[in-house]
Amino acid sequence: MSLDKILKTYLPMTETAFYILLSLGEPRHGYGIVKHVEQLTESRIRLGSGTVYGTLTKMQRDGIITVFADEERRTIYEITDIGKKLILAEIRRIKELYHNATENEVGFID
Amino acid sequence: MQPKMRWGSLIKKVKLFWSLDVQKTEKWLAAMSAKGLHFVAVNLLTRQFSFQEGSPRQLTYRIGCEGPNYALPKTLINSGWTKVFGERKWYVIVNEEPPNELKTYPVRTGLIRRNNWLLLLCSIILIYGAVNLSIQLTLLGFMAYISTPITIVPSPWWVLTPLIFLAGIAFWSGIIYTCIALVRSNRNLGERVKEQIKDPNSTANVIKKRNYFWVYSPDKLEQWLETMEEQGYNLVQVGSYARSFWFEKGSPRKVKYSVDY
Repeated sequence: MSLDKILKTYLPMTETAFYILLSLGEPRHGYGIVKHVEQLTESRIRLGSGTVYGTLTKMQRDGIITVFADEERRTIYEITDIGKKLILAEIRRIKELYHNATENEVGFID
Repeated sequence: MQPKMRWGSLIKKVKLFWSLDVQKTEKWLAAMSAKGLHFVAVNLLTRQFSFQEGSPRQLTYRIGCEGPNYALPKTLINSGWTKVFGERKWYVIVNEEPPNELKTYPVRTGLIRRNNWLLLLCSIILIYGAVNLSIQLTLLGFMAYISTPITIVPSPWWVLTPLIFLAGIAFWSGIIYTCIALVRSNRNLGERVKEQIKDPNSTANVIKKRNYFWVYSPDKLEQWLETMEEQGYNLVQVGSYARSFWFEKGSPRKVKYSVDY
């Protein structure tokens, strides 16, 4: 899948997909991703295994992440170069969103 | 990076059923490398493997089957795995490190998925053949029962009958062999501990226990696993369809298990 098609399909990302991909700053196994997202969001988001593995399978199929097995045969997920470009594009979009929100919030405060 | 080897002439060998049991093929490739014949490529159509003559080396091979978007993980590349062949969905990677020092491997899910599809196809053909055969045998039996006279019309084409019969035997034997080989291959692909038990050099003290009906009460499975841990049996592997559980004899642990779907 080309980068353009990936960006068109995935952007804007759902909060779940964003945090799953964000947690892959280093390779992690499925449960490690769940715990990391929980830690990042101070337990606001608790991902169910169906959500995590469903999203990971879709991302793997599209070449955003790739997998390998460690010594204990656990499946470890790793972000690919295309995946890195995707998360950086999403971070840029969120930064723009944040910037515009903070610049214009005054108009809504009574 | 390609393993450093002194290359010589090219040698070709045919292995017709290499893709039915890739673990066997991987061992065969490693044995060939130990003899100084290093894998270069395979013709997916003619099933012909090409080997380059060189100095004998202890190499580990892994064969994989993944979708078009698959990228070899950087962790695997950094661990010494090198892609030596890639065509359509198939790829072959090799590692120069001693087998007992390897810490990372490619996953087998793509291969298991491909085997399952092939198994489904072969099973459908097999069921079709069995139904067809039973209908024909019933008709023949019925004709024999009512003593219908069978007239054989002389024809030079009768010479083809035994040939077609032999071709049929070969075809159906091939289908049955494929089914058996795929089931065995999938079972082995999903079970690491089984390899350890089979490995005479392994020091792992592993026991296997079966638990068939836990799906009806997952809480009992959690309790059972926690009790096993308290007795010093540490869970190391869950087999296909979660029916077999492998435990390694270690130290008693107080751990909590949670079964999820």
